[in-house]
Amino acid sequence: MTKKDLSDAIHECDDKWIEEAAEQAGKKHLRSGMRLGIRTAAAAAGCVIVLGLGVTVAASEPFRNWVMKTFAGHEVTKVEMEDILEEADIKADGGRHLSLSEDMEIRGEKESFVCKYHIDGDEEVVDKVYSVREDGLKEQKFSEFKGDYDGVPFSFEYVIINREVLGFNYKGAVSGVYHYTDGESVYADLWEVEGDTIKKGCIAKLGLKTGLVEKRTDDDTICNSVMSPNGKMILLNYRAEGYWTVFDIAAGTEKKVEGINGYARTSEISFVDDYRILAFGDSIIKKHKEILVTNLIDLRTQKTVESYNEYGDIQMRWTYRSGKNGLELRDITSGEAFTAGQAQEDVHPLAVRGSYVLFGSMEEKTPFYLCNLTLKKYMKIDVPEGLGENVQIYLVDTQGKFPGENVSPGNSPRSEIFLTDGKDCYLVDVNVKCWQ
Amino acid sequence: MEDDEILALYLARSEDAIRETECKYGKLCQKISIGILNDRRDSEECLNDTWMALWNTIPPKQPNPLRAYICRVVKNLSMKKYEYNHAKKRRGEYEASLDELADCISSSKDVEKTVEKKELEEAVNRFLGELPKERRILFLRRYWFMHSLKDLAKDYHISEKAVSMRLSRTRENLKDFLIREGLQ
Repeated sequence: MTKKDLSDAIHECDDKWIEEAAEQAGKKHLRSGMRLGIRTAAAAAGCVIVLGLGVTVAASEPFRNWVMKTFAGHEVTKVEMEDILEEADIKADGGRHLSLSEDMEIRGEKESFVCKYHIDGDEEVVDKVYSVREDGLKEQKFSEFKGDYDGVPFSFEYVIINREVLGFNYKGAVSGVYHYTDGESVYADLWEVEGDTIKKGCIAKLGLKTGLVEKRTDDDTICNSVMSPNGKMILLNYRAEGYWTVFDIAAGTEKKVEGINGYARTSEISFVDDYRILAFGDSIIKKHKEILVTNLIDLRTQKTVESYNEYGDIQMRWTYRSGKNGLELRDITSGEAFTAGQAQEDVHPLAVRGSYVLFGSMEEKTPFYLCNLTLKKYMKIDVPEGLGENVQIYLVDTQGKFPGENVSPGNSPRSEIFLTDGKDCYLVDVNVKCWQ
Repeated sequence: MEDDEILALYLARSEDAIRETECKYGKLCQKISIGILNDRRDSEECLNDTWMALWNTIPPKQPNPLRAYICRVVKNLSMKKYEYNHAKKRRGEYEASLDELADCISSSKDVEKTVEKKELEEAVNRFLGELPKERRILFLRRYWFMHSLKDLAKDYHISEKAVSMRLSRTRENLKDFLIREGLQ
């Protein structure tokens, strides 16, 4: 049997399944059918963006009581209106909600940007880019870069927030820019395309102030790629040939990394830091059974430091099993595990942010379980009937407390829970206390 | 307009049938076709062929459910187009979804088997029947409708990784199911 046979068999499935899926696919939003609205949200400085949602007004007293009871012992902050600044271009409402229109999207490696765009023919044109602030969205000025790749011109516009760059409105011989910038330069994939065929491609350093284009690899670099969190390394996948390499930006060297499966996707690689990754390796066959292998690889030496005959569903590191004996989470690298004993339902990760994973089910009415992977603890969040239709839970990264606390440079963001019933909003500091 | 009304237009040979079909199912068909072909112009061509095929086949056919029939027609035509020109094209969702399905196939040559087409189809149908509704829909939206992870993540309000993880679990279940059924 081949993958094509399997795909063909799926294609021949019963009409009623196609009908069922087509019906859902035709709906604009799934949220109305979902019990709770859950996602990680863009909240770089505190303002929570709710995609395409209207705000439902609900009775807040039961909600307040439930929040206080459920999170007793935690620091719970009610988000108040009066501290909201008035300088934003698109202002958040009283609950610090922003409903984005259909033509707006959150983008960027760290969800730092909100783009407003329109489609012109086959091309997307970004009209405005906003940064996320406490009080709403602030429009950012575009900069433009123009250059050429061996005589073929290219250009794009970009916005920088902190160390993150967002490129857009690409024209000509450029396919995209990488997310990290030191403020002076960015790295980009350049390519020359004829029809639908890429003739050649390379990684280039683009001087934002000098306008210089410096090729850093040869012209055979036609591949998928992913940059490390702080822009030290770029992993390159030559999928047709079935291998990965690592490009060390400082050294300008590109070396093969044997430990990554040549067909692994970028979602199957997790950066532990700039120099170490957990990634799928080549699987092994034991007693006619295929065993997936995860490798811990040091990108500086390109060596596999450790191998594990399993894989983690969360950050390639944590595996989970849910059922009648509770939700068990295990770190495949250390073997350490912990169990959320109360979680006896079939639950799955719904959101992951930093050390936090929110488990729940979109199919069944189950409680939610917020797990702290560092503390190896969990917290049950049981939303009672009656509140369930309105309550939304978000895992957010905040810098400083609501409302409007100044953040000293170097402060790392902290993950908190943001809860709202559409009228009132609470931020719960889940970093301390009350973990089971 | 309801499906039976559209069907009645076809049966009455009214050209409004095509307009109403396009109005109601145009976007869905376009999404399926683009997922496979990754090319807007090719998919527009396929959509026109789809309307023509519907016009030519209804009657004598009187498909019920109509939507599933339309989906099959546009998918079949897009697949034909894909096979015709895929060597020149950029990677589309069809190819990506095929690669993901490879997870469900044992890579060991020792256990490679020739499986009867019909037997496999029936097994897949049973597997789909055993899945909870939401997981079945997600699975089919990826592997039948070829919706991208990005689109699914947007629709479900979860991250692409979360979608990928859920699909990977279902693929794992499918693999176990196929082994249990003696098809691997």
